[in-house]
Order: sequence, then C-alpha cells, then structure tokens
Amino acid sequence: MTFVMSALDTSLLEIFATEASDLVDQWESICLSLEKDPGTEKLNELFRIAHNLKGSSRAIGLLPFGDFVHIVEDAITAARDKEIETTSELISVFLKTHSVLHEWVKQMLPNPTYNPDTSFIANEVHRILNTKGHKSESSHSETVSTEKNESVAQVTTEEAFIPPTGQGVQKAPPTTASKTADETIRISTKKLDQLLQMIGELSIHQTIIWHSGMKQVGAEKTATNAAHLSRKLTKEIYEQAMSLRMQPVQQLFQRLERTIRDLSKDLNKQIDVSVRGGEVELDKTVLERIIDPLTHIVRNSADHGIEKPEERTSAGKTAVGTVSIYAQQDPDGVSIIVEDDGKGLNQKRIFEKAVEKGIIASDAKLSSDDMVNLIFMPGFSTAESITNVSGRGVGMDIVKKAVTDLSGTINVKTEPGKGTKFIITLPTSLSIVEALIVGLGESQYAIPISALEEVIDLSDCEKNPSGEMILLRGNVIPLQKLNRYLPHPLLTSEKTNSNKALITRIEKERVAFTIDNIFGQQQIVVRQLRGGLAEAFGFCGGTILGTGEPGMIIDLPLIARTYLERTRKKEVAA
Amino acid sequence: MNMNEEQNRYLVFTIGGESYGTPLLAVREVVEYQKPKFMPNMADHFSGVINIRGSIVGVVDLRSKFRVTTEKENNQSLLICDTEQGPIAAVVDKVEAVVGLDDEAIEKNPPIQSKVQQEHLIGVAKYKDQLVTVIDLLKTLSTDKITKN
Repeated sequence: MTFVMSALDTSLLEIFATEASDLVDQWESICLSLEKDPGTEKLNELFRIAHNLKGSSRAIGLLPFGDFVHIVEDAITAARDKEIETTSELISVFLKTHSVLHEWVKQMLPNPTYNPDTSFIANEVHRILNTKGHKSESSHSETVSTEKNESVAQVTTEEAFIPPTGQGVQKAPPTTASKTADETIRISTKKLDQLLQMIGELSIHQTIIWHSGMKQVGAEKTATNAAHLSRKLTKEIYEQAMSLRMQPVQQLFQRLERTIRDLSKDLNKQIDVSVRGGEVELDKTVLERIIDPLTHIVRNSADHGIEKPEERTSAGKTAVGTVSIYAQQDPDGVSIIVEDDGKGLNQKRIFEKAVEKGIIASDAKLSSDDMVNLIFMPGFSTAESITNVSGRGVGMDIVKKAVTDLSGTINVKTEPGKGTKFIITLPTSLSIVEALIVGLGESQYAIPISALEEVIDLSDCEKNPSGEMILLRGNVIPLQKLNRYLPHPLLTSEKTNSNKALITRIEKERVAFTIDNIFGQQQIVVRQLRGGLAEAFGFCGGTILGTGEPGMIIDLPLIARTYLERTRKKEVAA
Repeated sequence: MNMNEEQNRYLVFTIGGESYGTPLLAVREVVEYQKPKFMPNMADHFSGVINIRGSIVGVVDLRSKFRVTTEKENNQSLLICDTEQGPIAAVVDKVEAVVGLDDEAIEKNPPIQSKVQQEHLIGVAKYKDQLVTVIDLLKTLSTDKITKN
C-alpha cells in the first residue's frame, strides 16, 4: 500500500508533521504521568490525542499512520472504560507507540514513503485486549496490519524501522541533539509583539534622523536625541530577539524522565523520578547541547547509582530509588541539579584509579570534594562492568567539556551509601554579558562582571614592600600585574603605573590584578573564539567594542587559578 | 585551458616580490587590509585579530611565516580562508589575478628550494612569465599553530 505525494500533499504534510510533533510530545508526557498516578482524565487526554492524530493523518492521506494509531486507540479506550487495567505493561506499550510515532513524524518529511513495521505493537495490543475477553472490534485493522506486513517486506531495510525487542537491549530514546528537520521554534507571542513594537519605535527614530539629515539646519538636537534613543532601542531589540530563543527546560526534563524510566525497566530497578523547575528557561542552543551530558549523568545514576531493590532494602533504604532533577534560576544563570539516593561514589576507588591512570600523584593531598571531582579528568572510568547501558564511563570528561564549552560549570558531591549530586550551572544567555572594559597598555579588553568580586583603588590599601601583596580590610590578598599574563612585547611591565586593581575569587582564595585603565561597564555580545584563537591562553571569548575593533574577553578566573597553581607548586617544592 | 572548472582556478598573489598561487576554492573572500588588533601569548607570525562582519578572525602574517625580509608594501590585502576550525585571515602584499591552470601547467616536485613546507607545496607554474609557487594555502593555515606554547 503506497500513496503518491503530490505537491499539495507535501505542504499539508508539513503542517501535519509540526502539529503531530507537539501531540506526540504530549503523549509521552501523559504516559509518564500516568505511570506515577493513573487516572481516567489522563486516559481521556491520551484518547483525545490519539483521536486527533488518527483523524488528521487520515485526512491528508496518511492511512498507515492513522491505522496504526487506531489500533492503539482501541487499547486506550478499553483502559479508559475500565475494560482492562492500566498496568505498567500497558503504559510500556503506549510509550513504545510514542517512540514509533516520534520517529515516524521525524521521518515523514525527508522520507515520504516511510512506513515502519508496527506489527509488534499491534500484536501486543491485541494480546492485552484479548486477555480481558475484549473482542478486538478492529478486525479491519487486523487485516490492515497483515496487508501492511506484506508491503513492508518490499520496503528497503533502510526505511523499515526495526525496533528492539526491549529485552534488556538498550533502547535509545528519540534522538536528542541531532540536526533534525525541525528548524522551527515555538515562541511566545507576547515576546514577539513586544519585539515588533520596539522595531516600530526604532523606525520612527530612524525617520527623524533621516529627515534631520535632509534639513541640515536646527535639527541637530532632535536628531541626536533620536540617535541616542535608537541606540537604546537597538540594544533592547537585540536582547528581546535573543530571549525568543529561550525555551523552558521542561522538554529536556521530560526526555530525561523517559530515559530513566526505560532504563529502570531494562535494569529491573525501581526508580522514581522527581522533577522540578521545568518552567525555567534556557537558550535553545544551550538546551540542545546540554541534553547529551545530562542524559549521560542520568544514565549513570540509574545504572551505577541506584541499587537493585534487594540491595536497597538490605541497606535499610526504600526499595524504590529516587532521582531528582531540578532547575533553578540564579541571578546570572540557571542551575540544573541531578541528585540520586543511590550508593554514592567510591572516593577511595576514584583516587586509586586516578593514581593508576597517572592523573594525580599517589601522595597528593586532596579534600574529599576534590577527590570526587577527579571523575571529570580525561581517561577516567571506574565502571566495574562495562554495561551496554552507560558504556565505559568515558563520558564524564566529555560531559565536563560540553558544559564548559557552554561557559558553565559542573561539580559533583557524594556521600557513600547515601547518594550523589551533580550540579551544573549554565549562563542564561550565551551571548550577552555585563562586562568591564579595561585597558592594559595600549590594548582594550573586556572582563565579565561575574568574574569580579571587587574593583579597588590601590591607593586605598597598604602594599607590602615587594608590592606582591595588599592588605584590604584586614585581609591579605596577593597582587599580580595582569599584563604579566597578557604580555605585550613592546611594553614592559615596569612602565605601568596603575593604581587600579580587580579582585577575583576562586573558591576561598582571592587574587588581585592590576590594570592600567578602566573605561567603563557595558553589555557586550560574546563571540565564541574558534580554531587556534580558542586555545589562546587567558581568553574566553571575543567581542566587538564600540569602536568597531575586536576586543578579547579575559578569563580572569583562569589567570587567577594559574597564579594559584604556580604558587602552590612553589610551596610544595620548597 | 578550462576556466570554467572551479578546481582549476587559482588566486595569484605576491609576497615579498614573489608570486604565489592557491586554489581559489580555499579563499572565501579578499578584503582590504585592516590593522589587526594585538593579542598576547600568540606566535610571532600571528598579527592579531580583526573584525569581519562581527566575527573575530585571527590574522597570520605570511611574510613572517615565509620569512620574507623585503620591504613591506602599502595596500596589503587579506585573504580570508575557511579552515575546519574556523576562518583565518592571511596577509599578502598584493592580489594579482585569478587564473586558470590545468593540471599539466603545474609542475609538481620542482627542483627549487621553497620557503613553503614541502607538504603544502603543490608545484610551480608559469603566469605572465613569472614563476608562481602554487601552494595549498588552506592546508598551510589549517595546520599552522598560532598560539605560543
């Protein structure tokens, strides 16, 4: 059974695919929620979605799709009408249906003849319906599926979607950060309207300026005013447009919840997922890039963290483990926390492994916090068995890299026997940060305000004779010349006579850096550095300054850390 | 000579009085010289960074890289090449022309000493009675190390 796609059908197909994609996502959400808390209303919702999908797909001629949904719809109706029980098994069928539908919707545009073999689901539905003596009224759909099976045999193997049998075989959740055909994004109409409003205002100011240019006489004041307002507006417009890209993390969390659920079934563990803060927003790109690292963390929690029910009960814990995922809005970013109440990380084992791999010296003194964070070092893995599920654990350093590439941070805390907690912080906007424009010699640089604890005037504090330390409000803080780390071949550091310093904090320690000039504070658009520039020491990005010149963004914490490392090494050597 | 074939087109430019050529496909655009903004901790032949339509692009001084010692000309140009890691700009003295060179016109393995590393040398050709050293500029820039350490 094939169908010919005419040009008209393709545009209808696009509309259907977009709407269906949303519906399919809701389908998954309801199923996950059903599992925790069954209810007729949810089954009703699921039915409505199924019915909607069935109707629309048939209306545009996608008969195989509609027929498949019809089969599952029968099961939903039976469950809703209490003719069969809403068991975990049934929900698994619904979730498998989701996986099929998700893939189908994704494939239908690039691949119009896509027609997967769904008989395995149809069979399960019929089996479940028959166990309750419920005669499948869709004998029509039975013949349909046999017909489909015949035509499917003619479909090439690339097109036929061969699903895994779900017998402990890792079933990858619908693809995450792939470059799907989905280049569309849902945005808030309110934000869009605000944006249009601002652009309208801007064009008015532009007209004023233009007219003033024509008149040339007596119009300077109005023109200058308009130019000033235009500048303000342009900034706001940029910010607003960027904010259009912000999406709630809920979609991310749903994906993670699904992953854990599927895994717990595969691994015969009982895991409850608690999610909070889904309304917190992140930039679309950040979301796309954080999903794989988070998936890895969550897989680890389910696989290596949460123990099997017997283990848990004999350890005095509840048989059901919990993985909590929550997001919270911080002043300049978002924190995402993944916490489990599993068996925690074995610090001793991590330390041993790190020494084994030559990552640290065997006599290194580390706090337990530091020790646990060793898992982020490259080449590290303590997975006792390399399961199919989470692989070799090679992911942790890659997870860290993915997070730091987004200008974020990642930390792990653990308590043996009690659980593990991953804390990821991400900046809200990839692009716009508040920065201080400073001068070092002839060059201008930008330093993100978030990296600065304080800006001081050195004449206000005492210096020690060598000038390497200052006394600030009773605290001794090391003082370094910033241009020592960012040297200009022509200028020697002796020439500078600066009395301004920036203080940055690295955990409990502070370092002060002298600079020559402070030009002011402004919002800058961060440009990622690429290629060799990205490897340059001391910089974390670039921007275009008001003069049109490129301005490098100094990574002050990195420089501070470099200084601290050096002094620590010197102390150890001494 | 098949001028229509993209891969046979070469951009010919001069550095220190010598002519060089590189496949045209390697060069995304040619822009007017902009004084690069200094960037610390970089290699000696790295001149700094420039602003190309909002993007920050590093600049490599080919004169320095090829160890050319003759006087610098005014009105230099910048060739912007897209390497896999990102765009890089190369400073050249003058862009001469775009020429079509058949495979046969380029003599591979010429018996001359070149300032360019052997791996990046494609060969030598003749253009307007001048000897043109044909190089793989994209490869040269892709493998070039611009950081200091």
